[in-house]
Amino acid sequence: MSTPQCNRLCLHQKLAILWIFFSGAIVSSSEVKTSQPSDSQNSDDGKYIMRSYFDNHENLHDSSFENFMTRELSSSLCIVNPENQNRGVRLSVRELSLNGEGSHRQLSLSIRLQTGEESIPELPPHKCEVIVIQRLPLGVFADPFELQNLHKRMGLKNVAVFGDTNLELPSFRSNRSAVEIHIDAGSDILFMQSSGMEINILLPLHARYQPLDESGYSIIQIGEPDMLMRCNIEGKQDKQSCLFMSLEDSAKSRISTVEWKIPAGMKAHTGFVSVVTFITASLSTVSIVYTSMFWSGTKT
Amino acid sequence: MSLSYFLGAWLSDIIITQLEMLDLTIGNVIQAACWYGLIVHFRIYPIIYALPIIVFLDPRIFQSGVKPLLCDWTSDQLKTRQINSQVTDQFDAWTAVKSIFTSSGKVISFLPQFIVQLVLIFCFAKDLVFCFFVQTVAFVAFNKVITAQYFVWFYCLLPLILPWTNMKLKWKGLCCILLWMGAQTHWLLWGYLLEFKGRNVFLQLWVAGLLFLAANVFILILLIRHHNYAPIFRQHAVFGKSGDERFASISSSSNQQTSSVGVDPYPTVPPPSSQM
Repeated sequence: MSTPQCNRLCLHQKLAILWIFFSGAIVSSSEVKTSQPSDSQNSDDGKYIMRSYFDNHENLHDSSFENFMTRELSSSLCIVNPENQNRGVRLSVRELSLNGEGSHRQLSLSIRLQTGEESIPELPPHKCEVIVIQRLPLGVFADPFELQNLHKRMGLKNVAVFGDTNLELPSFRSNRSAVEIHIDAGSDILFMQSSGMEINILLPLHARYQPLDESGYSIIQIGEPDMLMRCNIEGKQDKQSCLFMSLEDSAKSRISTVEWKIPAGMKAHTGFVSVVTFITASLSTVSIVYTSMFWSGTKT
Repeated sequence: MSLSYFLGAWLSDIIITQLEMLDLTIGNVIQAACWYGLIVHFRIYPIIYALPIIVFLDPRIFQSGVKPLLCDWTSDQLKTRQINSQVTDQFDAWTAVKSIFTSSGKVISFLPQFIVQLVLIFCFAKDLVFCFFVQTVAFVAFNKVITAQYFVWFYCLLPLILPWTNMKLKWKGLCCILLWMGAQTHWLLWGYLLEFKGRNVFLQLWVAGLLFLAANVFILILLIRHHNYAPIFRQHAVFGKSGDERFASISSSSNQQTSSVGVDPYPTVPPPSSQM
């Protein structure tokens, strides 16, 4: 092949490769941009409750979160006759379990939505959604990108992760996170009496590196989620929404938890591991330096 | 990370590295610099090639825009020992880099990597292809983080250095391959038990990591010992500088050989006959 032809061919090859990579970079950047799940610039319009929490709090703490749920959300509650507890809804966890083994598992949630024995016919037409907030302990995390793929497959309305979503941090350098899941409960559900709905969710979770522990394992506990129902009521004004909190939840004691045993390093090993690693690295370095200095430029 | 970006990063390991080295070989420095920028954009590790490229661009060896004089590569040529003990001005850049480390712990843990990279660069920079390869192997071996996919980083450079090695496939080459695969598989086994079965095997995984380091270092040493050091370009005089006349004689003798080598950017001189 003559040189000018070769040059032309090489130029075309290079242009083709450049085109591939730049178009790939443009596509990937647009994909990444649209798949940011908890980006406030996506203008949530207040749809996420955890967004409101993290606007006022830096980290997730159980006590401050429970205060937030009782105080801040009480103003948004739908008006239900407190004397007649047969109205309203009940949300309860039927099953909470951890599937799989190792560092990547799935939290299986089975939730039952039960309307009251008496319907509420005076309400205008409404559409409701169930909101499940699963607070995760320190030591596990949910991958926001994985959840984005999942919510399309599982038919969820919305899903987002709030808090510390840095996937690579070890447990002792990270903060807690929470997953908020919205499931469509259908239209005019409150007109129905004594009807129920089962919601099954499989939430993929991943373990972080744990702090050192003498036993060689770190045990973390995942409790039941917080559950609400939000109904958008179509009225004369703009859409109003109000929240139903299950009347049982207000005094609920979370007995149901799952335990996850994650391997952890042992402090007793740190001494000899450091020394032996240093010696090995030093010997390797000396060998390579010796070989490079005395064997570079020779033919054997 | 989206699939297209990951694919671009993986392909950059292979294709763009080759293109960048080709452009350096034929004197297109600007173009090579663009490829280098693209590589580092996709993967950060090619930043370790910055120093050997700077050493390679020494005006005594390389002139931008002019096709440099290639060395004669013949199968029977006896190479004299060339211990490159020159410390160029570019070494001062590393003094600035060292100031980044503020705590002694970080310095000590980074020291083996740092020393090995420097020594490999100053011993093999003129044989740029081999330098890239040994640097990458050493970088992966001494990296604090170990993961199976890093082998792709130096695997793509292997075809470029194999023609210049005396190591035969039977049986030394085969032993190296099996040793590397065995050490990698052994590490992967303990990693699988830890991550996917949840068993506390940190100690066993640590030992497997040490064995993998030992295997990588052993194979690297064998490759260095069996390599035919082949600087890509011939040194020539740099007039108008400090007037170091000792290089003038090299230039005049190389000019006489220019007609036989020519300025063909795609030399067809075969590599040493010892093949794997």
